[in-house]
Amino acid sequence: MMSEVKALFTLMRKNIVAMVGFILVVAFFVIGIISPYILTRPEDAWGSTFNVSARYLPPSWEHPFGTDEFGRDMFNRVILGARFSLIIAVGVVGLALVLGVPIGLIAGYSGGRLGTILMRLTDMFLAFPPLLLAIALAATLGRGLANAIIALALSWWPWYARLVYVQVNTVKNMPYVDAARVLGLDSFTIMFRHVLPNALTPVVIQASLDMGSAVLEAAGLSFLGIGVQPPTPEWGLLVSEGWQSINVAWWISFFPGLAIVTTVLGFNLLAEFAREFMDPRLRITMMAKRWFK
Amino acid sequence: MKNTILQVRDLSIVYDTPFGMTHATAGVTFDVKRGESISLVGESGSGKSTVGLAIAMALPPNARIVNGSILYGDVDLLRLEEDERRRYSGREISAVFQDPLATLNPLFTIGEQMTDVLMSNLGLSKEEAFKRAKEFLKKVGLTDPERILRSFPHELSGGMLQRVNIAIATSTKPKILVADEPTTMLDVISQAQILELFEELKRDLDLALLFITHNLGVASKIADRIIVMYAGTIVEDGPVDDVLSKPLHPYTVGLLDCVPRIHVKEKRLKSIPGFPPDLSRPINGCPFADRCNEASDVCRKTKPELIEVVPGRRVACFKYKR
Amino acid sequence: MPLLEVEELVKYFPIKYGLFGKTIGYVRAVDGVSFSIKENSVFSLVGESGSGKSTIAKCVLKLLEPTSGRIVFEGKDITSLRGKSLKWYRRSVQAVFQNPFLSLNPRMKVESIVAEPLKIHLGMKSDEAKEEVYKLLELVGLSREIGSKYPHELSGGQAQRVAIARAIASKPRLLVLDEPTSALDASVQAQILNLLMDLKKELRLSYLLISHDLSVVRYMSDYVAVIYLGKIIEYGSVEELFNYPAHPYTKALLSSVPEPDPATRKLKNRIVLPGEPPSPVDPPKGCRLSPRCPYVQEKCKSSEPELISIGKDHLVRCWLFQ
Repeated sequence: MMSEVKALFTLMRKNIVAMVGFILVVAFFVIGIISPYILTRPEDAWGSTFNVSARYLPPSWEHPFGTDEFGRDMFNRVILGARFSLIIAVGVVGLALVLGVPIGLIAGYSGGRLGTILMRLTDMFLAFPPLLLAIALAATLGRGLANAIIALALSWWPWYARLVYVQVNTVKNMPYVDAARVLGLDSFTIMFRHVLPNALTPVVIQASLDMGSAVLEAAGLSFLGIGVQPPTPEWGLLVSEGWQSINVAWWISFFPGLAIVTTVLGFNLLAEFAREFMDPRLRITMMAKRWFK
Repeated sequence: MKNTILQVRDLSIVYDTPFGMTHATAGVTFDVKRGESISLVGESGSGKSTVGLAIAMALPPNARIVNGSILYGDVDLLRLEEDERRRYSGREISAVFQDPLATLNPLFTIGEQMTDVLMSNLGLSKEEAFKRAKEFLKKVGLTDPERILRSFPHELSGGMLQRVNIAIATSTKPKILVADEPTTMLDVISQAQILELFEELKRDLDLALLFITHNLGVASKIADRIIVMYAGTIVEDGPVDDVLSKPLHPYTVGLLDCVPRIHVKEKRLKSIPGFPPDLSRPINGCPFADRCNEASDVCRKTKPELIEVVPGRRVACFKYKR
Repeated sequence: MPLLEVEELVKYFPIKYGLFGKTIGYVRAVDGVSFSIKENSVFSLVGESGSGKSTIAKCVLKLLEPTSGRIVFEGKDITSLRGKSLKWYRRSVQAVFQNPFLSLNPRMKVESIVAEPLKIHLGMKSDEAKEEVYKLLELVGLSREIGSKYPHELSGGQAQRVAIARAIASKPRLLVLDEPTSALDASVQAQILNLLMDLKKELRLSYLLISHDLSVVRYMSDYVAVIYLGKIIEYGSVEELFNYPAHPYTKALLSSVPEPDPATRKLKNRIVLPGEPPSPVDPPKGCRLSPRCPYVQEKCKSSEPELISIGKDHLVRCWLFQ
């Protein structure tokens, strides 16, 4: 494991694109985690203030991102927004994994009728364009951060189920699974000790990179008015709030939008790199190592 | 010497992997004569495949040539540009590899792939290419060439596919054929058939054959000369019958000893103690020293040179003097 | 009483086609195979790919359910046993597979891999198991430090030793060895084969060896059965079979193995078996070798011979002997 991680970093160092992506993603996580503690104007960030004299101020030293229609400092709002985006990213992806992985695992390992039924069910969900499904679910569930997360996760789990299913189908035919059966292990133990850990890697990588998309989709939901509600400073919501005043106060929508874009960009750059790393290069280099050992 | 068609000089290649650098070959030097069949023998990590790939100009992208040259006439194959390389690769210098399916595209028929190669490498027209393809499929012992040309790779067995690969590789009438473990994935009987095919082709086409294998029996059958490699260097070479009946280098002796025999039931197999060296670090002294029961101090400190102890036979071992 | 008895084992794989998975035929992988293995002896199944030997191994290991036939171990019929009722069988019958990098869970450390059978079959707790793991590692020639490594950090030989340690941990009586050294280098192969023979003596094991490598079979076996297209075509003690091969297929196999020693190589006369083995989906009528046999007669094409005895411990399925 460690040698693979080391190899990953060596390759990354040589690749500027990957490094940039990595830095952006790390920045997102760090800011997301510490943001409540570094706010200069927490009341603004949380949205409870109304400062008439400071309304619609353009970016300046005092307000690097300007202020909005309630006089709230946008910089603080965007920084705190990172925390919400992080919560959403981890929440959506995490919940989708919790739902999708067991289904994919059981479908893949049991095969036969159970497997077919489960995968047909998954396929039904996959047939919907995910964002539309999320919107429909969010509208049904009602507003709020938690419902937004649930709605998105419910539209996302099928992808992970399918990914796990495909992986499990390969892994279950590996000699080490045969060996586990020959040892006399029960199906449950084989599934969780031998099959799942080896089927998870691509899923985990995919899930980590999907966090960027989760941020984007959540922003979309908030922008449309479903999902997160004011005064929560979620980025999508911030963009939406600044939309009407876009002609006179471009900065209200711009900076949250920029935050979304850079975060998603960071994840996408890493995803590109990860895809390269996972596929032929890794195979060649890993083979070279085995070959010349 | 007019008879020599290939000169490998001081070939040193490393592989750049994220796990570090692997020194695949170090200072490999040998000649190949016209129509000669040479077997490069060694275990994994010996560098034999790297040498073969270098000659076939098929090294992977992470290979770096640290030193050395491969002279085909006056052309150094290692220093050719991409377009110049195509003049030789697949035409005068051809290759067959271990996995019969690796070089064939599963989506196209054999006929399409063979005619493609012939049309692009030799500039033949489609009809001419088709004729040549049929001719060579017959030459490699496939009795129904029309059916083969219509088939897809997955419809044929391993033995048949290897014959197809050999047909493709020889249809351009090359001067040198590099074969990298072409029979390792085949059954014993198919292997025997393919080896006999190589012998026939060698005679018919006056082909120089560079046959890479880890199997001494196969080397014994197919080669005129054998080159034994260990940890990226040549440890011994010479006429195959001489080397295999009277091996000089302790590694060759050990290797011959540890292969179980069919015609006698042995009590216990002799084995070479220890493991092959780690190629990510440069090796001081003789690479075989720590496994050799005749090693002395000089072996551990200095690398022995490959010297000609008898005309035609070379050894890299301090036991022998010129 | 023999340790293992296999009676008329048959395994057909259905070929399904189309949307509804209609069965349109069968792959007759194993078509009526019987043999028995005594205590503390080595029985080998020799055949090429597609012969059915691996399928037989999987049936003995209960990884596949036979289509018909019986498997009796220590006098108890285990053919229809499943799940929990098989636990005692699993303790006594273990396996070593061909490629250790595929048969060891890449995400588990060596000590966990070897401890698994100890916990399941010997009921050991973690600390007890750890000590026993070290003893097992030592027994197969590995140092304690190997315990904390992952399989991909080991060499091929080390990894296969770990697989062997795992296989003997539950103190089994029979090991199924499925091409245990095919993926290893010659020098490592010798070490592993020696280890297996030592363990057989020390632990009073029996082996069911599956191999296509006749020299390995010669070294290890007491009794050998040659399989062609799902049927045993010759059976005998290793001396009988290798010194006096009867069946044309056995003779062809033995004559196809290339020998390193030039003296023996020159003496060998290869028996040519043209063509390819036919598909096990539609085996030929009559004797299965008839399309390729150099000694074929009319009778061979219409009716299939039985296995008959031609000497002490020697059975052959061929009309030439009836």
